[in-house]
Amino acid sequence: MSKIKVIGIGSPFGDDSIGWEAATKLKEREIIQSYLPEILSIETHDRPGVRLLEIMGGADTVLLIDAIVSGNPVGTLYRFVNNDIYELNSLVSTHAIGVVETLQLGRALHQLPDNIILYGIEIDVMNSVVASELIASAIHQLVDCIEREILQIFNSEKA
Amino acid sequence: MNNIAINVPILARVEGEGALELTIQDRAIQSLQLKIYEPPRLFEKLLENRPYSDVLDIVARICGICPVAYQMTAAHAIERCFGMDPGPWVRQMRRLFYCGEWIESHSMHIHLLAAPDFLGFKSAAEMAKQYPQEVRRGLRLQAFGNELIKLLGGRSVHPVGACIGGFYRAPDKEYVERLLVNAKERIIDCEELLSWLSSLVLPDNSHDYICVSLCHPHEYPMNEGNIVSDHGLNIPVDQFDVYFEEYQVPYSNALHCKLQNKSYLVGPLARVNNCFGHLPSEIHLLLQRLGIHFPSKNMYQSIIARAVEIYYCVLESIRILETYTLPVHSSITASPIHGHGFGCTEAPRGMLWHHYEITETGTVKSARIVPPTSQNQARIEDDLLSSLHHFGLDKSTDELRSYSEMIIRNYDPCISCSTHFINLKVNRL
Repeated sequence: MSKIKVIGIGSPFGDDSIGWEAATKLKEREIIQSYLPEILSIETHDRPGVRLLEIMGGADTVLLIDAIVSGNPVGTLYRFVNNDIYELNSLVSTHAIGVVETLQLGRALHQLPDNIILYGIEIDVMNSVVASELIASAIHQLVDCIEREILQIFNSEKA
Repeated sequence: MNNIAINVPILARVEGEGALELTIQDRAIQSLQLKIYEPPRLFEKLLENRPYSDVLDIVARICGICPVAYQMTAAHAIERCFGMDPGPWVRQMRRLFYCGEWIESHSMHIHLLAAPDFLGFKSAAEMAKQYPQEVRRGLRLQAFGNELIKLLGGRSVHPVGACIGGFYRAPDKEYVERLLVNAKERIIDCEELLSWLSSLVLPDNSHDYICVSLCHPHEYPMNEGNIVSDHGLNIPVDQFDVYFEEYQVPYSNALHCKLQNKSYLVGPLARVNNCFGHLPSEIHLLLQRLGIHFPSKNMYQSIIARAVEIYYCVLESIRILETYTLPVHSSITASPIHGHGFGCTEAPRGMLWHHYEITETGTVKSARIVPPTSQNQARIEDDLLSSLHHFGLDKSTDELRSYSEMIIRNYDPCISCSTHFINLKVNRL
């Protein structure tokens, strides 16, 4: 069976913490808890930079969760798969090497897992207050999507 | 064309938000301003009225790349205020902790931020397609640095293991032995890195300036020593204010700093220039074999100085890990005393100076932090003035822009670190 890794990325504080919030809520789901950590692991990392390449190691599919700033309404959900991700340049990153740059680097080094899916929620960096209603509701929907995606991957392998 | 205005609105591949504005009139530079517009971050004010025991966790947040430097400088300053000596075990572990940060920070700068400049790539990802082995080696070194920080800090980003008086816990021996194996495997990486860098054709923009760093009588400086310059300065850290002056310029949110009214360099090249004699013989011999010579006033050679320090830190970490023993206590207890404490250590980007006044109950009354990027700002501007003249002011705007960015990146500026200060004036009527 393939190994799935869910990685929540960002600061543990403010709206940039959506990666942490979503990963924590996903862990609480009963169906998710029924999978052994050897095939499904859920982690959170505070702005890992290029360490993300190490962190993703050993997984066949990686589901990344991060905050996105692109000017769309706050709470907008996003899902990008593999090549679509490398075209992005608007992810929130406080340092020179952000998620997209790291994935581009990993791709150049042939060091990426087979499948990478990036889930995001639009935040407003100028009004970063934890759990504004829009964000809280978006996190709930996002966790539903990720749960469905995980079940779909495992079920397709059974079939 | 007599008038040229060049505006680099966002400096790429540096940490934080800064810009450069250059005005050329009649083939002479009329004005040149390095603008650090990242908002002030108020850390010094945030520290006021908090207990001394909060300081290390707060200052670690100033920078995601060099939190160890902020923690170590604050720890030394506060311990000096309280008259504490945490002893030889803590001293060694702090050195090991710092080795991790230098390796991590320098590896990132060399491979992901600076090397693409010298090889003509727009990004590290583009460079990695043609230089995969070199980039992988850089990532291996960076990962090793992160492991060393995690060993003592509990985690590599915003570590939480350090406290006033030492560390909250001592690492177990198995973990130390695993890291020792890793450290020994990195020696070959260090040698190959220096050899690779020596093969790059680096431009020469040598000109005279002052190099400032700590200097210790017996070792390469990290946590201790006097503040020295290659122009004869040699002072204890609490004399900083007598010789150095911080001041505000209207176009930058970071304070400038001058030594007796002159700009000066801090950072890896200044350290290697001032303290070359304290590097071990392995490094001296390798540099001799590769035809690399220090002291050097060519800022392009700062990339080589960083590689030299990575090699030094790998050797130093092996020395410390090999002699590791579990201590009876990993820290000593602090007893607050009212007074002033000064701390100065060598952050990856250069000398970092802290001054705290603590009350008899252990509350921070005032805090002052002078980070390396603030100190280098005036030097960067002077370097640009001199280097752009040599480069030729009649070059195209694009050429002048990318050349200026490359000059600035030689200093590895960490803009987030340098914008923590604001002057607040309250008028009560």
